[in-house]
Amino acid sequence: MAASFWYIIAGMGTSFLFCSAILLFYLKYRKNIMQQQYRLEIARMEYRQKLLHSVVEAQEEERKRIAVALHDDMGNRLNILSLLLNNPATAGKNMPDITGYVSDMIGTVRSISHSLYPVNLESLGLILYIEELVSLLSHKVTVSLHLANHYQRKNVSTEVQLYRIIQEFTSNVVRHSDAGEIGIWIKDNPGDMYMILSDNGHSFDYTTVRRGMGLKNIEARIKSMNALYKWKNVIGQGSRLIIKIPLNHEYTYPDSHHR
Amino acid sequence: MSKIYISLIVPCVGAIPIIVGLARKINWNKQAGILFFYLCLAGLFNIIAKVTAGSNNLPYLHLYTVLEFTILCFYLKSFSKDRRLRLFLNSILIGFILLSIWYAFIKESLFVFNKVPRFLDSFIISVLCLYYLLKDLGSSVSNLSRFQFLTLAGLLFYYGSSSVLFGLSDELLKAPKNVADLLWNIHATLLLLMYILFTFAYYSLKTSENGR
Repeated sequence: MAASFWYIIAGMGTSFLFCSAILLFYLKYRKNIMQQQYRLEIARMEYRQKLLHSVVEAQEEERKRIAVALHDDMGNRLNILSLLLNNPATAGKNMPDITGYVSDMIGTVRSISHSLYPVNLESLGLILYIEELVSLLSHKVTVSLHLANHYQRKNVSTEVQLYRIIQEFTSNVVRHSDAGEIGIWIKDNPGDMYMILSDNGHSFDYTTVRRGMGLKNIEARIKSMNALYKWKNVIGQGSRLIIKIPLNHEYTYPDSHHR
Repeated sequence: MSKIYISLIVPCVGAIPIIVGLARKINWNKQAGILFFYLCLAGLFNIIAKVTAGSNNLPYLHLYTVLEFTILCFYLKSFSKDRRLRLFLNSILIGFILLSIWYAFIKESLFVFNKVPRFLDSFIISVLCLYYLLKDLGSSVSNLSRFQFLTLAGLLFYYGSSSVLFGLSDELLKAPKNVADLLWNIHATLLLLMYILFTFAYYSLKTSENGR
């Protein structure tokens, strides 16, 4: 009997310890998962806040640019025009100047309007609009546009975002990278679309430049389309941005990728 | 003292989850109902055991084992919507009932300890509890409510630890009284622990989502 007694005690004790260990492991594991999820949620919230902040910053920057354009350019031209029109000594003698000023002002207003919203994009389509941008930049840099497959029109909001990304990318390249060439590749597939933007400038260190408005704007626009993206930068040789856009907005975007 | 502990204190503690369960009746789900039925059945058979204490009341234990396993099998079946698992549990239940009948009427007798069905009963319940707990660890979000976790923990502690005792319970009948008393005290303590966990489980039903 003594042996049986000890078997029972040992068996019960072992089983009890085993069950306790399983339950403790379960609780500890669940606690860890909950803590991880909490940290992830906090990180997501911080990211959303940063994104919101960068959008607000971008808006302010845009407003500032428009205000400066209106004040410095349009304001000055209108002042000169007013002087020309109100000066009795020159009345009727400077019509060519006045016509020139009015024509310049029309161009400026069009340019401001264009930078506010690509008004004609809806009617012209993305490709024609990019071609227009290419011709505008032609005196500063060589831009080549390559289309693989036949481009199918997308909804206006997607095309506006794509155009803005190209605009921001090219503007950054012209301002900062000292590049001679910019390449725009667009490949339209049935389920998704690839857009590759590249330049042969001196490139940039992603981790340092990441805080800048230009990159924030580009990334915020990419993420608003639920697209995936990757930066490939080689210092001194150029940079490349690869974007994969889901046409049914099905991707859940991860954090930015860069090399 | 030992007798008071086993025959009075522990059965009285068994009434606490019943009372708390009744107090939380408005928040019951199907599982809370099944478990309540199990507690009532355990209470009823405790009373029968007390009333018939002078005679050989082991036939009631045979009946109780079958009913207990049936109810707990239904309870544990309600954790899963997997058709194959539910079918498997139904098969186990039918097999267990047939085995208990064979054991009580052919292999042994109604008047001897049903160590094999009792051992299988506790072993299968422990394995199922372990299965659901480990299965839940596989998902990133817990699918077990607090009620479910506490009841699984209670069942695992009691049945998991008592399996060995049930398997060798006929040995206890031959053992000296003090040895048998010690082991039944340990068993009663495990039962007490299960009742306490069930009490907390019913108490957790106060929140709107059934303790989730």
